[in-house]
Amino acid sequence: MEEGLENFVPLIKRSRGYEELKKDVIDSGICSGCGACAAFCDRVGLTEDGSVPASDCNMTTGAVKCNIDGICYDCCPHVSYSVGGLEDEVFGARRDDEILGQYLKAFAVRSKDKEVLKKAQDGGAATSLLLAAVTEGFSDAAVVTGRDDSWNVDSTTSKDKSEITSGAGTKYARAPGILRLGENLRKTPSLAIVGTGCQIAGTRKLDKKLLSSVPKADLTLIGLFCYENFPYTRLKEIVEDRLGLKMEDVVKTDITKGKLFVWTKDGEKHSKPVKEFADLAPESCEICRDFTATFSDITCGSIGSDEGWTTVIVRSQRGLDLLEAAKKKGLIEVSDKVDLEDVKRTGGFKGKKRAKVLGERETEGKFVPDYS
Amino acid sequence: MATTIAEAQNIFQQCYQCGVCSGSCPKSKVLPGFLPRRMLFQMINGFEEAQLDSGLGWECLTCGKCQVHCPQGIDIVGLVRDMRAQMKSRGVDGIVAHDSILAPMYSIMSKPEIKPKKKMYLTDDVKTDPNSKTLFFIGCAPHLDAPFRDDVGFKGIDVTNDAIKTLNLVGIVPAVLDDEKCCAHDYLWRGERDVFEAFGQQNAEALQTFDTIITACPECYRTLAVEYKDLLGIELNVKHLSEVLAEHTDKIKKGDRGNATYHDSCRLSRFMNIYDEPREALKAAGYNLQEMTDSREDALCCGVPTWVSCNDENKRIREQKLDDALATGAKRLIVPCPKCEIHLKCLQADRSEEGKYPIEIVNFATVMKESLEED
Repeated sequence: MEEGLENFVPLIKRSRGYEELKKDVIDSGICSGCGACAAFCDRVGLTEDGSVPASDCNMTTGAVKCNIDGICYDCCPHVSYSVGGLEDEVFGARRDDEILGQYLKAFAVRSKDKEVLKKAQDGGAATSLLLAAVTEGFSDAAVVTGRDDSWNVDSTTSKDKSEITSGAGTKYARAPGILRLGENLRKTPSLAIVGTGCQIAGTRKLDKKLLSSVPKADLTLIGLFCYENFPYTRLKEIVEDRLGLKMEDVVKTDITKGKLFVWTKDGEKHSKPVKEFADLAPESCEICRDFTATFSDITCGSIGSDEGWTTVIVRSQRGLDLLEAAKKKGLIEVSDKVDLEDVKRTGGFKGKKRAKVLGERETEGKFVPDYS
Repeated sequence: MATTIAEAQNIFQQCYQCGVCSGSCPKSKVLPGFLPRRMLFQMINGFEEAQLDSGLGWECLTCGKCQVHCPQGIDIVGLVRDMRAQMKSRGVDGIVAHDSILAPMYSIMSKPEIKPKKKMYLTDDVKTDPNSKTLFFIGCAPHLDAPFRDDVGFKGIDVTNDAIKTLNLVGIVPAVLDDEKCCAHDYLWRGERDVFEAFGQQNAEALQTFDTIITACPECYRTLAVEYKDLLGIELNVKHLSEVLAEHTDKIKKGDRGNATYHDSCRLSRFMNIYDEPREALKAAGYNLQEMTDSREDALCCGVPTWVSCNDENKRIREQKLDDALATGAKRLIVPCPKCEIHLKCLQADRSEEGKYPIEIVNFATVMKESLEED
């Protein structure tokens, strides 16, 4: 407490500022472009391909320096923080399994909507749950990530069924749906958001640090399994240079069983082992510990269920309610035929890679986050 | 824009406490403990008495740098304005610089029977037309000439004449009001809305007879364009001198005028979104404009808005401002607001013996007059 301000309420201190964020995360190569630092502060912007912050926050260069007043460092999912502590806050319980995270139940889910199934990677669960979140009163609107013909991704806030449905299908290009979250919440205080592990973790940190002071603000978080994701320029390199295809011709992408599958307009299915473009995998994804988006309300993923079905891990009561509501509404069918060992196996590969990369970083004296 | 405290408490239930405001606030960096984030927290969460009685609301520059990046779009300075009214009624007053001169001056002017006779400040070579439907609103620049000319080198009468000459040179011969009263910007922002209204009512009738009102002063501009409408219900078509010039860049004579830097006065920039027009006019005149590190919407304040809290901390901000200007390598610091000009020249005069700030601080109106005149 500053001197002479005894009657004042002490504010929750922030630990570090943008300068340290830049040093620890951005310049050391582990920024995944999740958008959390730019969710509440428009001084931080992302590059066009959604990779890393585009321009340095000008509050580090001018006469007035933001220093530790902002939230950008503390909401970043790649800096050190207590995973267990955040779990206590979010779920009131801690995980038994590192890869699966805290969860209540797991299912296999398939959409009953033909339009959704056509575009979806697997069973269309994420889109169906997003739709249910809006139509069944969980959220006022959904943050929908769409793409144009060249696979440039962009996020919009929508209440419209067809617009939400249009966002179906995996996009292997980073889409920071939580960019400008603060402004979106100002227009719509209750939002449903789909995101990868880093996006969900960043959003959950913001949720717990900031949104608790605004009673109206409310988030439903739908996670996605994510092994790795590419900035747009790298996706383009894979599709155009390595597969010899045109971005405009691609209609659907999928990574499963160690292979990238790309469907083109002419109905052809192209594939290539993921190993062949391992050189393009971002370091931010290699050091990620959150394959199954462990801070979501409910997470959807490909691995662990039969073809045409989505594996769904329910983490919170809200996630369970949402699944039930979607089922009751007839949006999805639900089965118990799910193999979590398969999920753990894939997560295990990711863990090994992570351990290796972190070891290298440690020898090189680079920032290594501590999640204990 | 105006936000009462009751409204604020409702609206500010929306404050996330993200801290963008505190991070942006120049005052928070020179006065430890002054944090907009805390001020909002106190005002929302039932600590408003402690906040008001602390008097910290008088330390706010009302420069608005805090709110341009607020994700909730909260009108923080609007709240401060209302807090000041509350603070005054609780006997927690702010310290107004030069008040021994300014208070009697404005107190006399506020009397309806007193005619300010503003035309007496105009020189013979200035053309005005009593029948014009365009008014040039003179403002207080000429009144501030006497107290500040010898002291800091502020030539308010010249600034006024230069502004009208500039208009003449682009083909506009405006009317001026001999009985024009103060826009009372400073009173409003010091929480004295009654004084603002008293002045406003005296101006209202005359101002409404004009199609267009042009001001050279950013404070007059903001007050007539926004506060007259919001608080007095008087809608006026107001333009700033720079907007007029941006329409007449073809008449501006381009010369080799060297490096200059432009200060975004808060009432013109953040409050009224005028960033490009003055820059366009200056570029048309041939100035090689160099931006300060904190410019446009992040521009640093001149340090003493509404004459309140001219203290050591605010002096630090003015030092930062001039350091920032010097670092651009500019010979001239061009300032649209007469008040900014006074505050910055004051610091410069204060440090003249050290020769610490070798940069010419000059009013935008004067600069533009020079570049329109025949050689």
